[in-house]
Amino acid sequence: MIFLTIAGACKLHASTTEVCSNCQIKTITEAIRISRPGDTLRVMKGIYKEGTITVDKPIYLQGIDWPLLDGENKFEIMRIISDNVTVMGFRFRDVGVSYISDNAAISLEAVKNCRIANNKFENSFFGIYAKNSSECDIVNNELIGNALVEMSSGNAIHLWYSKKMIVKDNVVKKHRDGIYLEFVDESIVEGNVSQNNIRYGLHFMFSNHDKYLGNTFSNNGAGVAVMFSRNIEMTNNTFELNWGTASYGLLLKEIYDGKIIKNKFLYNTIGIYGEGANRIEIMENEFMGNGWALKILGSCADNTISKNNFISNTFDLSTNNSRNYNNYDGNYWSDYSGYDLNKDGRGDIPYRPMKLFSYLVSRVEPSIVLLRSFFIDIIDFAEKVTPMFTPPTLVDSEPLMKPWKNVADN
Amino acid sequence: MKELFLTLCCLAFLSCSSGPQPIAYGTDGCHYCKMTIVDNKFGAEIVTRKGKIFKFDAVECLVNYSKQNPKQDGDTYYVINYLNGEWIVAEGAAYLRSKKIPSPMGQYIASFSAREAAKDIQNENEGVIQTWNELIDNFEITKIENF
Repeated sequence: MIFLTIAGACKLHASTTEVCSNCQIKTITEAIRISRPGDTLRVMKGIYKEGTITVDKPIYLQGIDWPLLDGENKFEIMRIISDNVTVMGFRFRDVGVSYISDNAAISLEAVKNCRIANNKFENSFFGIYAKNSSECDIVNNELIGNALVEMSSGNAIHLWYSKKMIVKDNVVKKHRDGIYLEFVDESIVEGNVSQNNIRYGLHFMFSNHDKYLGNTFSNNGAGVAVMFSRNIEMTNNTFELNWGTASYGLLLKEIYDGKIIKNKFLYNTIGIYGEGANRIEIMENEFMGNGWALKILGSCADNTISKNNFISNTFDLSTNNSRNYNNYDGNYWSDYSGYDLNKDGRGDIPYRPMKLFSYLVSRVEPSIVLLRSFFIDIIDFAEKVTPMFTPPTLVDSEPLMKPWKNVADN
Repeated sequence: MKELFLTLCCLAFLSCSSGPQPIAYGTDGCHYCKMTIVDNKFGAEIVTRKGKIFKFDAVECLVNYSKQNPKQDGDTYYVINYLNGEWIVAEGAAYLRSKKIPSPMGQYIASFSAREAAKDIQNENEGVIQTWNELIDNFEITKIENF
């Protein structure tokens, strides 16, 4: 009798509670209230309208058969204020829109080690909003917004003042910004698809030592913009189909010490726009069919642009400065018409990637209307023969005869 | 005939204005940081003495820009009123610096037409109200070294 009492008192294993309309516990809020740290809540199929659900204990919330948590266009749906919470397998819908507070489907507030995985979000204002949090995983979620107007839409995944976060394999569409990081360090953004967002597919500021790997950013209103950050790595991403007067495949503003490697920049107005970008390696990327492949303003220095393929871009390169502080050796340029007599795979004549017309357009933007005119072809040719206006050191002294292919990819 | 010509000239000149141009939220880009301007509680503009317009998504971008490109005689600086989205001349505005009201480029500046107008919001959100000169003097240029 005493033994059984002691055994009952030490609850060594966590318990599981089921939540459903026919169960003893009918609401998630009630289930959380009676739960203990380490418990699992299995929430069965159904529609749950509970206003804002606050998760204040380290528990595991598992949705069975896609239960729907409905914000009724009035509420923030779930607030997580405890460490070690997992939320999996739920649908979230109709977060309340507010112009004063950033209402989210799931809000993570100063928590550690949480996991938000395999959920679906429809018509959220902000989807998953993490602030002052660390070591959380946001994985394999699908967030489809309803953003029509920039001012009344929020971001799909929004991280603020957080560290060591993982944002992986999510699909984010039709929000204001797909993925937004501000003051976020040592985090990984990997394998996400960010499309059809009104402004940026990815936007980060003041965020250092982060990695962006294997993501796809396409058809976003303004492309991808990254600013005021250092030690960033962007590898194997695809930036495509970002057209518009202020659209960039990738905007680099005040970015120091980075690696931009093996990405694809396809059919953007501007592939990469750099202003205040320093000490960056831009290598093994593919620039195809862009209006401008690279627009590097004079404030950029000590960058290495090498082993890239520039194929069928209207302008390969544009800069607004008469001096060049970057290295452009060893790229493949589809406009290069030199020869290679010693068969070393590199052209024998240096290539000047900056056309005079490109310089003209950067100083007097409306002159773009002269594109493809015979007059421009003549002055471009004259400049090629005797460069007078384009920076003399802006030259690829070892242009590749064939596109760069990483041997490891074959 | 002459009257018609003069009338047409007058009509043409009517369309020339020297005041600030409205910001097309969602389309216009900030001249300093290049971001698309989307938040209609924030914004700023410079109208130069020649009538050239530079738009900014936040007061901090205008201040950063003007530190690099000092104000010329005849230039006018405008900021967006946080409460009603209308233009205020920058030097006459009151600026609320509150950690609860983040502005687009992270410097927490919201503009109001007068100190009294800012007081209500200040009471809800704490923070400090500054004049234009105080704002400029206490402003730390957004530099990569600071982060």
